[in-house]
Amino acid sequence: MSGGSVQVIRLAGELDATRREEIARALTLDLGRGGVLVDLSGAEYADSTVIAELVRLRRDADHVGRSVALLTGSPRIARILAYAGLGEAFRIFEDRGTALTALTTGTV
Amino acid sequence: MSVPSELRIVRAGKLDAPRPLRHALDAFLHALRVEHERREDIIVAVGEALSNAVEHGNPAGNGTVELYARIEPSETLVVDVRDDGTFIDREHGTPGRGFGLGIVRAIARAVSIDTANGTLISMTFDAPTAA
Repeated sequence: MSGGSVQVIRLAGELDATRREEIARALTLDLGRGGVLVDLSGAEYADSTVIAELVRLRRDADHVGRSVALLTGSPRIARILAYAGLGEAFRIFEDRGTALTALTTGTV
Repeated sequence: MSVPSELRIVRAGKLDAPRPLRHALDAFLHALRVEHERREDIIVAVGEALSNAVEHGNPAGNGTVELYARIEPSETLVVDVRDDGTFIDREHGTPGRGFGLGIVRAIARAVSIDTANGTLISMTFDAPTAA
């Protein structure tokens, strides 16, 4: 269960291999202890570059007892995760308030 | 106005090549009136193949990447991605690439990989059109 303020990471636009370093740098835990919300609602395209970095972020968060959730604007990200065999790996929200509540109350 | 039945583009195999090729394919599928969600999925699958091609298929830096898409009967779309490289260890050599080919295989109805002359990934998709 996470506590403290939520770390929000926003990635937008076309998220592909040309932005690998930027994506990896963004999807890094801060020094807080709260949950992590990855806001992909502005993503126009996302490929396995993002999937691999989300898996790494999730692994790092698990090690320190922090939760990770995703905020999406369409079902596209959920479908890509499912195609990658990770359909159950992340809690996905389409509403920011609900996502933040879940992360701060430890229900993710 | 007639709708083109195929799209063929050859570009230098630079790391930034996939994005304009994805956009061109998206416009082609839009012109064919392929359903929105299906179009998104096809773009992701082909995008993975294109990224794979430019990351691993251009070791000398002077190669090309080719996109060849054509519509066939029964709402079937075939897309070839060809590069000049070898296919060895692509699925494990770069972070994400293992997921990438898994995504391609999950979206496409059929995938073939021919390494006889460079690498050719041929993907067959169901491509239903909007009413």
